[in-house]
Amino acid sequence: MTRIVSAAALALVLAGAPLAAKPAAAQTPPELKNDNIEFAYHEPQSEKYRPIYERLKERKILEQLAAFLSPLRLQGALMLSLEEGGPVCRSPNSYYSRSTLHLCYSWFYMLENEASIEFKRGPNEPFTAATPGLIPGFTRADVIVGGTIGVILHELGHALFDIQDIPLLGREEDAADQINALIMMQFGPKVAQIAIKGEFNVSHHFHAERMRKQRGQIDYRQEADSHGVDIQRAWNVLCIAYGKDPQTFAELAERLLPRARRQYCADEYKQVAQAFRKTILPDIDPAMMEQVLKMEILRPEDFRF
Amino acid sequence: MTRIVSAAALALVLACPMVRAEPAAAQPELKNDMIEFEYVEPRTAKFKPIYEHLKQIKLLERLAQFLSPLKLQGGLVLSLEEGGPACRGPNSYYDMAGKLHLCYSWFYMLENEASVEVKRPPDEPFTATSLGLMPGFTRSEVLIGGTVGVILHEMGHALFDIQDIPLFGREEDGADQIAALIMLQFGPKVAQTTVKGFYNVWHHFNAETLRAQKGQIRPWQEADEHSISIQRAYNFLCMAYGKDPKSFQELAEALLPRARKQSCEDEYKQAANAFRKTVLPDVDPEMMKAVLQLEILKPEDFK
Repeated sequence: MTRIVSAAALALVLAGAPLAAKPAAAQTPPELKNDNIEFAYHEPQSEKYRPIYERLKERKILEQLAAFLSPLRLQGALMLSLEEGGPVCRSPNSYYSRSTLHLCYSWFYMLENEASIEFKRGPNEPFTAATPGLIPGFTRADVIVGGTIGVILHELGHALFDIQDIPLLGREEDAADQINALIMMQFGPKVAQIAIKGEFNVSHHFHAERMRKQRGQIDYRQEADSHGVDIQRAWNVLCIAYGKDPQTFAELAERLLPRARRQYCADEYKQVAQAFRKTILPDIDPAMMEQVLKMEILRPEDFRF
Repeated sequence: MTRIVSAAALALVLACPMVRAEPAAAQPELKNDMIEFEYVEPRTAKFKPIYEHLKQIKLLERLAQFLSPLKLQGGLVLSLEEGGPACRGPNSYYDMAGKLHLCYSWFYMLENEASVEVKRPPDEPFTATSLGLMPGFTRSEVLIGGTVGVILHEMGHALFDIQDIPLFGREEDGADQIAALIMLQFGPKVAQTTVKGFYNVWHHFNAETLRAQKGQIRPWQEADEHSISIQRAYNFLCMAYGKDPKSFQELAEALLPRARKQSCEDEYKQAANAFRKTVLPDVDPEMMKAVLQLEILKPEDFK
């Protein structure tokens, strides 16, 4: 399972392009290499993480993530690390700190064993905000692929903000979610649907877990957190998607996003895309970016679950 | 009451410095052809005293002066008005078409709701669902903080639009950060007054929501493009604590969970850095110095 997931996720990440591709000039294609980017696979101590480690390593997820990021003219070093990590990785989590993007096995384990699993309900029990696991009408592949891409792009957002010293007015956690959604939306409608549905499902799952633990109440600690409440994050990502492509996301938005919010989504998408153009795009090497766009990594078999 | 509030609010707004003041040789005129203003007489009698007073103290003239150092890329109209449905909330808003609408409804709410102490039975504690003035807060803090806060928040939206500021993160939170950032440039006393006041306003709105909905935040509120009211209160306090942990220590300890407190310093620095990069380059330094020399902020405004 992991193997396929990783392949698909990776594919999406590598194909990601906010730039419109132009036919490449008849020149030698540039090498997709960036001396500022390094990576490391750290063998896990926990037995349950071993299959994830082995498959992600064999699939060369970090090598290809490094290639995907290579067009960035980074103002500092970036280390991509796949690891079991310390206490910060325990929850399930992943994080960026001091030039290192820490992808924790705990996150991928959660995707496969919790968020993408259908929760058994009584025959008359409806699916509600407090139901964890797979959302009806979503697939396990949506959740695992979307949740993998989502975590990578969210943490990449933090890394970019820090290394490129991007001005941020608004909360950084929301901004990282926006970077995530923005890049997810550059792959065409099919991939966008999978990625956004998966990301939405993961946030919904976390929110449901919390609601169950706290008897349907959001605790003041969550409201005071530097992250939005999980269900807000789910809506933010869906809103960006609906804003970019209201046709593809009409059904999903009608089902899941309150109408009052829907009317602002086009503006929200435009605002983020504009900020990306102004602050990040100037530091992307266009020739290398074209090369990245030509990498045909997404294969149909990546989505067989 | 309106008189004192408005005078104080205005004072704060006008005294705002993001640049250190030095004695200027020649005073540039604080005029900006891109900025206009209008006082629209209210239809509703209850708003009349607010209209008359804010007009008398020249709130908009002075707000226009305060904003004059901005090299604006488009026109800005400051309007004090009863307005249409969008003002009914209580509310105020920037319309994304060059006009900042300050609604009488907002000022009315400040005076008659958020700043009013609500009687509780002797054994009933003040909780998240308690309305009005918070214990240890004063009516003038709420009036001043609520006035300064709404003006600066809407000014944030206006700046984002007119100056085409790149925004990651949600615009509503961005406008709150602009407001908090500017509130914190007046020294600890003014910072305390305005941050406490605005915190109280958001606490009041949150309490109203919780009471109306049996303690539950509804999905459409969580899905709103604004953060929910209590999140906005925490965000303001976090910026303040991040800038000046000493002055805000007691308040942060009482109101802000420890996990959030750790990130406040970084949050403040991040917003300040963004302001320097995106807004400050379009502020005329000479005019800004002159604005700073206006010395309108006087202790008696707080009495």
